[in-house]
Amino acid sequence: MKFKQIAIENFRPYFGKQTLPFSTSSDKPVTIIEAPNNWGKTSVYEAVKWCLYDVWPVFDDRDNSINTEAIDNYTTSSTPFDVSVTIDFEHEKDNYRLWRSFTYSDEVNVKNPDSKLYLSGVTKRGDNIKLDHILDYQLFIQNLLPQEVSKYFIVDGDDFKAFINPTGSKTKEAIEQLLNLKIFDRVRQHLNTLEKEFTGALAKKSGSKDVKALGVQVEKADDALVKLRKEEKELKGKRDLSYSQYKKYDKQLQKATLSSGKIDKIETLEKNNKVIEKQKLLLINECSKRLSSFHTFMLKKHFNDIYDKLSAARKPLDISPYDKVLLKDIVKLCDKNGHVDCLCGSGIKKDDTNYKSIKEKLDTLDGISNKNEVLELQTQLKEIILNIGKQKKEIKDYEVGILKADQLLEKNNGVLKKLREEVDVNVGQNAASLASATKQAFDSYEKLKLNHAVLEETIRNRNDRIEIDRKELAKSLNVDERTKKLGMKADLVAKAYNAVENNYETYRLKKKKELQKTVQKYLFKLLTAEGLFKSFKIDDDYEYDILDHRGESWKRRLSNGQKKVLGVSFVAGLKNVANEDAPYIIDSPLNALDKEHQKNYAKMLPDLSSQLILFVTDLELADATSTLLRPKVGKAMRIDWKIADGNYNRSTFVKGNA
Amino acid sequence: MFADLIVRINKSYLEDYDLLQDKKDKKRSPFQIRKDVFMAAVSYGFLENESKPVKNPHDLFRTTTFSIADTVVLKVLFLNNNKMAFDGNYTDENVINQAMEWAEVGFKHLKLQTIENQGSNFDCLLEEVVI
Repeated sequence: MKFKQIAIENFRPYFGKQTLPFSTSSDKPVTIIEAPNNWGKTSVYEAVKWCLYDVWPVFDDRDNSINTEAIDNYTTSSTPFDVSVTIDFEHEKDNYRLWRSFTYSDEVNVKNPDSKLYLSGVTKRGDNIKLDHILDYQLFIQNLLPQEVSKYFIVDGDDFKAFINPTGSKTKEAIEQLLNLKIFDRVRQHLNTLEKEFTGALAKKSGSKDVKALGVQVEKADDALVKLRKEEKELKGKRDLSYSQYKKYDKQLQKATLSSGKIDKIETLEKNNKVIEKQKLLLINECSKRLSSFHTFMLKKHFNDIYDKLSAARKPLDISPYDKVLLKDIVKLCDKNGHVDCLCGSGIKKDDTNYKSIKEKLDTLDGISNKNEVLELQTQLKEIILNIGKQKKEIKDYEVGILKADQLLEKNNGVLKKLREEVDVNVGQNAASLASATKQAFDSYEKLKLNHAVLEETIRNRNDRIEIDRKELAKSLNVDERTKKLGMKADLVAKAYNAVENNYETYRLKKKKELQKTVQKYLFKLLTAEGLFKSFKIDDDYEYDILDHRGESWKRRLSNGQKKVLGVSFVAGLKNVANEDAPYIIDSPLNALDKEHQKNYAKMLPDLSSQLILFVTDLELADATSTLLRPKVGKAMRIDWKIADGNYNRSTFVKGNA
Repeated sequence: MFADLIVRINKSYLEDYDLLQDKKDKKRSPFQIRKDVFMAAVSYGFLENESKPVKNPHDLFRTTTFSIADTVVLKVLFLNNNKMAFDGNYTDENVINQAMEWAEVGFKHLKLQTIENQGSNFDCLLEEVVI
């Protein structure tokens, strides 16, 4: 980093904006700003510190650090004004503009004003460029030149003496930062962060499943699934076979059921026929009972004739014993008188039909005696004749019934014949066993179907599970890979940490030794009484001492000038060892040094930094010193001071005599 | 009723008698008992007005088997054949003998009408009755 210029506005004795350019030449790295005491040299030094690190200069013996004239103008005009310091600098070939400012008003805390820091890029023409990639300007500056280190670069000449005892942890830290020892802390911190990050990541990964176990699990599940699929295939085959068997039986059963139906019909018809036959037989039997009197039917027409004959046979018999006597008297009278007259007017003559009949009947006594039997025969014959009619009617009815039965039987037999032709009797008879076999086959099929469905579902579930496990495995494998990498990284970090730890001490001692050697080099160059001293020593807290040939400490015995030389040497050595590329700004560098020391210092100064900015008094720039420095001076400036308006000190930068 | 007498037939008819009155098959054996066959044979003999003494007589049944109606039929047939003469010939024995003689001849007609006819004996008799 090299400062190109600084613009100071309303700060300390600088009213308005005053710009001080610096030399950035490599050949002539020195810028000398010359001014008598109290003309504003230290104010520039303070302006730089305020701008860079917001260190507002507060001194008990001074008014506030805002320009008094500007404040008075504000009091008069109430016009706010800006207080600012702008530093243009280059760093790694880029140009930047850094400025810190605040606007003065009554509300501003003059002891510690709130300021704002701005940073921009600068074009060749001097225009600002917004730097979007830089978010924290202060951090940017801190990284360029840490504040703790800056006191070795922006130095008040009177403070060199203080470096003789650079105690305090902050100073130690600053020195170690300059010596790049702090890099170890940063590395440690970085490694710690990395370790935490990796450890945390590893801890997270520890929740992941064991890849090997998961792999075995997936493999086993795959094997099991293959077996299940084989089982499923076999089961499917069995199921299909069972279905075919079932359908075969079912078809046969349907045929059998059809035959069975016909057989049933046949059986029914046969049963009906049997009933009919039975009824027919009953009819025949009943008819036979009637036909047992067959002879009566055959003789019927003769019975009427016989009946009549019986009637005729009965006539002569229809005479009572009294009438027999009477008839004998009639015959006797007829034989005697030739006739017998009846009271009713009729009469019987001898030898007429009636006379002969009476005489004949009187001669056949038996006929007369069988009179009752004839009557009985007639009665019974009459009954027989009547019964014949009745029975004949019944026989006719039975015959009709028998004929109907025959017709029915004939019809049924016709149907039966047809049915018997259609029916596969064997199949029909096996219907029951076929039904049983069909049911068995169906049950078997249903069972296999169910088992198969269950197996399929199981396979599906297992497949899903395996897919999940497989994904988990892939994920875990990935995680495992990353975990391995993380582990390796963590190992590397641990190794790096150990390496840093191991190297830190070596590096620190090396740096300390280097610093000691360099400071001693500068010290012995500067010291006019170098022969008195033998060595320069630095302890671990960077407190240093100068020892004589006897090894005795001279730290407390040094003069103020020697102390300053020792301080200058330390800072020069420190800066040299640190190899920090930052401007070396020294306020009154040669103050309190005798001419010889000034000469030595002036001889050495240009080599201490790539940019050297020296604020000097006229007394410091003795001829010898000037002669030594002149070849290296790129820019010589002067602070002009005057009283303005009779009241105000005004400092301005003007070109000096190089 | 008749006196207890024995009705005899030609022994050669016996088998056919039994055929016509077998209880097992009424188509073949329309008559109930031997007596019914005998009465049918009597009627045929009477109707054909043919009678012969029973040749090689064989006891068939007792007259107690006859029903009253049978008795009446046999008596009236006898009386009719004897011009209703209730004289000394009109005896149970004569009535039965006359019947047996009619049956002797009549059975041949009956056999001709049944056993030797086409169709079952039952149908043959039925046809005779119905017609």
